[in-house]
Amino acid sequence: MFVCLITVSFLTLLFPAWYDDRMPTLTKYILIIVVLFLPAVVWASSTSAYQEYLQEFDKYRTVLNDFKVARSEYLKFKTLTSQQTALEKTKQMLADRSQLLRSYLQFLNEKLNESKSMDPTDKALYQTLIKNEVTFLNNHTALMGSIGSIQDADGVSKQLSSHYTLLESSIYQTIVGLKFAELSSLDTLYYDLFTKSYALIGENRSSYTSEKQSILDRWLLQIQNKRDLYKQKTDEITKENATLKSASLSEITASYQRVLKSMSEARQYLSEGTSFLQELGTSMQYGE
Amino acid sequence: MDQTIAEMPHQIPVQQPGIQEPRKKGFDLRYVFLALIIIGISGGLFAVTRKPAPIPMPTPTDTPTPSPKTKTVVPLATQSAYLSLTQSIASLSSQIQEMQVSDTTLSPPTIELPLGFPNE
Repeated sequence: MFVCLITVSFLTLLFPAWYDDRMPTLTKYILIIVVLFLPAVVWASSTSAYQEYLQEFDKYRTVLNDFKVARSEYLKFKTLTSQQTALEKTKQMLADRSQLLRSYLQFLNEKLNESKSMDPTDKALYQTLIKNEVTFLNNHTALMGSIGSIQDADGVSKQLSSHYTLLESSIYQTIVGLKFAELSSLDTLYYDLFTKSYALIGENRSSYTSEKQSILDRWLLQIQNKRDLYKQKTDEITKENATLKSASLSEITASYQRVLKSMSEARQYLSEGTSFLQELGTSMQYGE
Repeated sequence: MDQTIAEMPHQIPVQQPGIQEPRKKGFDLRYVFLALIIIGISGGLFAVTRKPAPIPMPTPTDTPTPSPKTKTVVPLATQSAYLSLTQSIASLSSQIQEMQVSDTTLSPPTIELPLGFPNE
C-alpha cells in the first residue's frame, strides 16, 4: 500500500494532466498489482521471520560465549574490573536471550498466520498464548535497565527460569497445533476422496462382475480401516497434548516426543490408505 | 747289468705323432635360454595383439507368448469425475509425502538459563 501511495504521488507530480485523464485506469492496475503481490508478501513474512530468528540465534551464541569468558575470569580473579566486565556481559546476554525468544515466538506467530488448515478458533487460542509470552518477555527485558549488580542480574534471570516451563509448554502446544492442523487437513481430503470413490463404485456397480464388486467392497473396507487407525492415533495425540501443560520441563519434553511419534504413525496410516486408494482407482476402470 | 742311474739313457717321453681328434663340445645352454626368451616374448605379443574370440551371442528365438487377456474398460474410466478423482488421489499422495511431522525449523532454541554465579 505504501508503494502504491508513493507511485501515485510521483505520477501526480510529474504528469498532472496525463494523470488526471488516466487516473481511474491506473488506480485499477495498481490495485490489481497489489492484490497479485499480496500472497507473495504473506508468504515472505514467515521466511523473513525465520531469517531474523536465525540472525538472533547467531548473535546470542556470540554473546553467550563472551559472557562465559567474562564469568570465568571473574570467578578466577575476583577483581573489580573482571566483575564489571562480567556484569556488562551478563546484561548483554540476558537482553539477547530475551530477544532470541521473542524472535522465535514471532516466527511461530507468522507460521500460525500462514496456516490455512488450522481452525480459526484454535489459531486465535495459540496466538493468545504467544501474545502472553511476548508480553512476559517485554516486561522481562524492561527489568534489565535496573540491573546494577551480578546479584540483580541473577534475580532477573531466575524470573525467566521460573516462567520457562510455561513458555516451553506454550511453544510445544503451538507446534503440535500447527502440525495437527496439517494432518487434519490431509485427513479431510482423504475422507472426501474415499467417499467419492465409494459413491462412484456404487453408481457404476452394474459395470462390474460380481467377483469384482466383492473385491472392490473389500478394498473400500480396508481403506476405511486405515482411517479408523488414523483416528485412534489422533485420539492419543489429543490426550497427550493435555500433558503438555504439565508442571515439569522434562515431562513436557517427553510428552512432546510422544506426540510427535503418534503424529508420525497417524501420517503413516494416511499414507498407506492413500496408496490403497490409488490401487482402487486403477482397478475401478476395469469391469473384471 | 748293473747300471747306475747315471748310466741309464735319459728317456725323454716322445710324443707320438697322430691325428688329434677334435674335442667334442657340450650343447650350449645359452641358446636354449635365448630361445625360451624369444618364445616367451613372441607368445606375450601374440596374446596381447590377438583379438578376443567373439562371445557367441544367443540368438533370440521366437517363443510363443500367450496374448494378454484384454480387460474390459468400464465407461466410468473416461468420465471426468473418475479422472478428477485419480488426480486428486495423486495430489493427496504427494502432499502426504511432503509433510514433515518433526519440522526442525520449528524447534525452539536451546538457551542457557542458570547464570552460574555462586551465591554471594
